[in-house]
Amino acid sequence: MQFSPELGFWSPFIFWYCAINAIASVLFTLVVIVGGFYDLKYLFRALKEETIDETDDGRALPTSHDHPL
Amino acid sequence: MNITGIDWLILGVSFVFFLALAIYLNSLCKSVADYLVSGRKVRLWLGMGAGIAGEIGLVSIVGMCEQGYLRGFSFVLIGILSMAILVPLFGIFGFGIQRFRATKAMSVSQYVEMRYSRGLRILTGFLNSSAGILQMCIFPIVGADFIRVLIGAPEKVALLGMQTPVSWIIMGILLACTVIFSLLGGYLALIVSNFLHMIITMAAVFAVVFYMVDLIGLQTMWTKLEETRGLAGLYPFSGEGDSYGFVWFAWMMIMSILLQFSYGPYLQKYAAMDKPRTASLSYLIGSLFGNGRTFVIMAWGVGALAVLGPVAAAGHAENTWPSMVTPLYLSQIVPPVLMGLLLTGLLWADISNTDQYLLSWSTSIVNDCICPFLKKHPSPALHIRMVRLTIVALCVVFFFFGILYEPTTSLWDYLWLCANIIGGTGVIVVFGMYWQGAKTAGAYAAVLVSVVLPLTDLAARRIYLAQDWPFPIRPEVTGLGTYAIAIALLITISLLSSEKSKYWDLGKIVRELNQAKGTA
Repeated sequence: MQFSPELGFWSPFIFWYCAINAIASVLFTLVVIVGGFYDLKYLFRALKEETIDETDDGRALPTSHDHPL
Repeated sequence: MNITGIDWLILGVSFVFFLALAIYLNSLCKSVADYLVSGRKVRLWLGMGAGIAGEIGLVSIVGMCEQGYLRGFSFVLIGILSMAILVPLFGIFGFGIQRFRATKAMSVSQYVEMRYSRGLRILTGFLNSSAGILQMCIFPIVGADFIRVLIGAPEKVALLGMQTPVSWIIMGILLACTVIFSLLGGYLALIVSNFLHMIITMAAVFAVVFYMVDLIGLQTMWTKLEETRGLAGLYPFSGEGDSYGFVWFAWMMIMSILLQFSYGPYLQKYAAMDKPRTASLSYLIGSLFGNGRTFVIMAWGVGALAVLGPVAAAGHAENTWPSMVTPLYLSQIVPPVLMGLLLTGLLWADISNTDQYLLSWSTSIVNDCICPFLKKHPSPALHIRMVRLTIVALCVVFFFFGILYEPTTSLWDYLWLCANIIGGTGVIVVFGMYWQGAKTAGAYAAVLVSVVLPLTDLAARRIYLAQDWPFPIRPEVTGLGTYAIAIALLITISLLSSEKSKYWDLGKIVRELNQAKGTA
C-alpha cells in the first residue's frame, strides 16, 4: 500500500487500524454466533422452568426503602 | 430493476422461516416480563448477537454510508477516543449500567418513579418517548429510499390510477413486516430472531465489502479518498471542509454517556440481561470489536466516493445525494445472489432495529403515560394487548410522517438532535443512582431545561433563517450548554430542597446479584 506523504502519519495509521479492526470484526462475529447458539439453548430451557411473577410488569411497587423491589 | 428471481427466492425463504420462528416463540411467551424483557434470561453472547442486529438498522447503515461518503474514515479517530473513554467507564467499571440492572426496573421511567416521584415518571416517559418516536419517524422512509435506489426501482408507479412513489410502497411493506414481527412474541421473539438476523446481516455486510474491494482495488479506493477528501477524510479535527471538530466530539461523548441511562432501547437491553455483570461485559466486548463493523459499512460509502466522485450526478438533488450515492453505486455492481443476500440482510436489519426501538418506546408509552392514569392496573393479557395496539398506532404515524418528510439536515445530525432531548433524563438517573442528595425538585428542573433549551435553539434557528441571518451558536454548543445547566440546576435545587431523599444503595445490591447463581 502507498499513502500520500502530504497526509503524514494519519493515512497509514487509519488504514491499518481499519483493516485490523475489520478482520477482528469478522472473527468476533464468528465467536458471537457460536456462543449465541449455546445461550439460545440455555434460554429455551430456562423459559420452560420459569415461575411467573404477575406483579413483575413495570410497576414501582411500594416496599422497603432500602430495597424497593 | 436489478433484482432477479433467485434474489426474490432468497428473500421469500428467509421471510417464511422467520415468520414460523416468531409464531413458535410467541407460544413460549407466558408473562409480561417475558414479553418486555425476555424473562431476564438473556446471557452474554446471545444478548450481544441480538444487540448487534438491534444496533445495525437500515437507517444506521444509510447514516454510516453517508458519513463514509462525506467524511471518509475520519470517524475512526472519534471511535478510538470514544472507546478509550467509554470502555473503561461502562465495560470495566460497569458505571451506572450495572446499578440500573440491579434496580430490576424495566424502563428508565420506572426507576425515576422509584427514586423520585410518579409525576416525574410520567413527565420523563412522555418526553423520552416523544423524542424517541420523533427520531424513529424517519427510519422507514429513509430505509425505503435506500432500498428503492438499490433495486433500481422507478421513482413512481401507477397504482389504483394514481402515480404513487415507490418509496411509499416499500415503506408500507417494511412497516407491515415490523408490525407482524413485533406483535409475535415481543422482546423474547426479538432477542432470538435478532440473533439470527445478525448472522444474515453481517454475512451480507462483509460479502459486499469484500466484493467491492476486489472490484475497485484497495490502493485505488484509498488513493481516491486521499485525493477527494484530503486530511478531513482521515482526521476529524483538521478544521478543513466538513470535519467534526473537538466541540462536536465533546458533545457526542457527554451524550453517549447520558444516553446509556436514558435511551429506552439501551436500557431495555440491559434490563433483559441475566445479571448486572453481563450488562457491562456485553458493553465491553461489543465496544472492543464493534468498531470494525462500523468501518466496514462506512467503506461502502468510501467505495461510492472513489467510483462516483464527490459531486452529485446530473438529475440528483444535492441534499439527498450523500445518502443515495451508496445504494446507487451498489445497484451498479452487486451481482445476483449477492443482491438477494444483501436485500435479505437489509430487510432484517430494518426489522430488528425498528422492532427493538418500537417495542421499547411502546412499552414506555403504556407503562409511563397510560398505566399511571388507570384506576386499576391492567391484567397481563391486557397489558400486552395495549403495547401491541400502541405498536400498530405508531407504525401508522410513521407511515404518514414518511409521506410528508423532507430532509433539511444530514441524517446523523437529525438522529443526534432528537437524542439530545432524551439525554436530559440521563442526568437525573446518573445522579439518582450515585448521589444521595438528588431530590425530585432538582430533577424536574434538570429535565425541563434539557427540553426547553434545545427546542428554543431550534425555534431561534428558524427565525434567523427566515431573516437570512447566520445563527451564532453551533448545535453542539447548545447541546453541551444544556447539560451543564441541567447538572447545575439539579445540584443547586436539590441542596436547597428539604424533601427526604428516596436514595437506596444500589452498589450493595449489584455485589449481591453478581455473586448469586443463575438468573438474578
